[in-house]
Amino acid sequence: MTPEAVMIEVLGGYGRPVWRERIVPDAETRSFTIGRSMAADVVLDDAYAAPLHARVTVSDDGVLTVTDLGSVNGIIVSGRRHHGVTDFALPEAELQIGRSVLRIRRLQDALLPERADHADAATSRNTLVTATVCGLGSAVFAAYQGWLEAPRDLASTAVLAVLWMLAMSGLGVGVWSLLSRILTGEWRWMRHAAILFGVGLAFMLLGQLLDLAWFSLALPRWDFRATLIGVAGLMVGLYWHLLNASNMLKRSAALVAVLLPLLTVGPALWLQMRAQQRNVNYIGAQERIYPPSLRITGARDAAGFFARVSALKDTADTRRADIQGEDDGEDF
Amino acid sequence: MLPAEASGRPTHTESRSDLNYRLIAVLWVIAGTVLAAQTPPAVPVPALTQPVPAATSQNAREILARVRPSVIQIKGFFGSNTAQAFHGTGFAVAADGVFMTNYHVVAQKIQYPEKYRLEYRTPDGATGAVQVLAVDVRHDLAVVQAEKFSPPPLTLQPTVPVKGDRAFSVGFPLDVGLTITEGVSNGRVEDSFDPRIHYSGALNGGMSGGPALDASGAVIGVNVAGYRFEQLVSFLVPAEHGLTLLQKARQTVKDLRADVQAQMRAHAADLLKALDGDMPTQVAAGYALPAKLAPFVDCSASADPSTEQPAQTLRIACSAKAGLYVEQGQFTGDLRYSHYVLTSERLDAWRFAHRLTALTGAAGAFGSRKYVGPFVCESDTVTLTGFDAAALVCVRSHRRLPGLYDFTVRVSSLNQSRRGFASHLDMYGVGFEAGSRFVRRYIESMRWQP
Repeated sequence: MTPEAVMIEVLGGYGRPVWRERIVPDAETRSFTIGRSMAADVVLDDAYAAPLHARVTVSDDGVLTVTDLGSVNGIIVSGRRHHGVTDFALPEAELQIGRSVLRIRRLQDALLPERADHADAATSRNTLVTATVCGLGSAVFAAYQGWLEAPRDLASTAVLAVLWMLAMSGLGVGVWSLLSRILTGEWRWMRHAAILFGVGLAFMLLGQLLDLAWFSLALPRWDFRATLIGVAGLMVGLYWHLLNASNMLKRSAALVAVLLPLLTVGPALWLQMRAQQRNVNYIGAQERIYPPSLRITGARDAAGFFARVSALKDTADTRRADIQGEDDGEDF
Repeated sequence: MLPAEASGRPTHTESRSDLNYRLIAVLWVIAGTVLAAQTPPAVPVPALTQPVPAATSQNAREILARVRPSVIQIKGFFGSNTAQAFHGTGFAVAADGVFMTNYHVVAQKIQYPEKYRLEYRTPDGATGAVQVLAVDVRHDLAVVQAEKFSPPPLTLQPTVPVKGDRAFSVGFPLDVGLTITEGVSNGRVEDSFDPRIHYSGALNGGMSGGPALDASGAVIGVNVAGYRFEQLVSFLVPAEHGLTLLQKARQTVKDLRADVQAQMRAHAADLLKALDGDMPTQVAAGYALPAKLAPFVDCSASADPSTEQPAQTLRIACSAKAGLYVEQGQFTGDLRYSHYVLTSERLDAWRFAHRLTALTGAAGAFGSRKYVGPFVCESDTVTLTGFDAAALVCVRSHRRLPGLYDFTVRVSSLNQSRRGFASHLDMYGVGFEAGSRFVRRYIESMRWQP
């Protein structure tokens, strides 16, 4: 009976096969040899391998064993080096000869089921469209910021703003693509560009809309609104970038995307907030003013406002008492 | 900080000092010795067409000879240090070693009685301890008792000399020894909340508290302050206030610090009372806004006359210049306000609103943790007379002066798409009730009347 063919693979980084060969063991000995010599059945291009380094035997029921054919460096199995072994078992079907990591696959080896692919067949085109549209949107937004100031020369201000925005986004896309390349082996430029521009633009617009809503509806001052939107944008962006730059599961990506900003930006914000609360000159952010035609809710009677101002005395005294006994560092 | 101020206001070494010109006097007391090292550049003097009358310097010599025995240098020391922390001048006003000086010369001693000690030094080099008997913070005067030194007192002249009268000032400038300077009295400073005599003569750090005399040798005032970068614009406290304080000093003041605080509260109350009644307004771009509220309030207006700007900003800035010196870096009982009136023909409503936002947030308050707590604020969109406005009122409480508060107010109009204003009001060291009442009057006086 002819023995079953096996597949021998040389593994590169991240356990990916870089080279593979199908081989039928010798019918009589049920084995094949590995070495640098052309006389070997599997020829390795490895300076640390002997001309005839080892012999691998595949029994009829598929059990793998290895025999050292008198090499200098021996055989490494499961991270341990063995010299001069005979019929040494290979339960993991993996061994290292010289610097080459080899995996032997048999027909009987179980395979993972086929992975369902939910990705849109036209992903690359959609990504391209998203990146382009959101990139253009971000450029328009950058130019709008320049326009708002009514500069002496709008054209140069706008070009400068767009270039600056592109440089900063380019940096972000570059870092994420590099991470993608390291973790998944693919650059995924376009996807990271789409995420960066898409999430960035969405949250910038959200911030603007909230500013406008606050003005239109005459809502009470909310100092940390911009900060909160920034953190939320960071979380969403991080989640999408992580999903696309690594092989993480959605759940763990979400966990990292929430925890990382909370653990890094969170303490920084807390420190800033605390410093502001203790800064005797801090007044807080000013709500933006928009054209009068955008007002929806009318103004309130001034009497109520002045009544609330009269009640500020006790709060001011409490805040003063809070910092009593602290050192006299200057605030400006 | 506020946008660059228009010229015409006193120039100060620190941007924070436009509260009051007296800060300069303070710098003189504290930093006198440092300044002594600087030599001014030589200024070419044009040849005189007429000879100088010899009588003037002769007169100064006589005056100095007469007051010399009655003048002392007052020095402050931190703890047991033998090197001085600050110094000023004093002069005898009564028998038994009673001397007059400035409050700001002895302020540190009153604020931190355990940390500082005071000593006098006569022109002949004798020294001894000094004790503060009474102070008048508003007029920046103090009466002190010198130990074992009672020279003949100088005479206090209760009438203010007329403009153009010769005057002399005596003191220890920059610790370089007893000095007399000669100048001219320019009478009372017009429109000042606190009374002052304008003396056109040199006053330098260390001369604070020294006597200013007329040609007969009577004391017309007490050296108090000057502008550092102007020429010979100096100030004296009229001698009449010295006489009043001398009466008060006959009764023993138990707790000087509490007395100082009570005087500060009274001064702040007086200031706001002086601003009570109808609030005068002036109209700019259709908005009636608080104008010069009292004769002592100093107002200036500035704008860019160029029509090429996309929007025009008119800035009206007013200051009461009434702040009392408490200790270094702290003043109370002062207020200032400014309106930024924005108009535009060329800007659309959207960008106009953006500019108005920037003007509203333009200024920040200043203060030190040493003296005040953090701000607490209320803000709302409120209906005023004829228009709606966004209003913000912030208050903070003083740490070392209980019962005094700082207010910061911002109001911006929301009714017009190409006209608008942002108004800022800052009050330092005022009572809460009177302060919040003034804030309300300030805001409610604003009207839209195109």
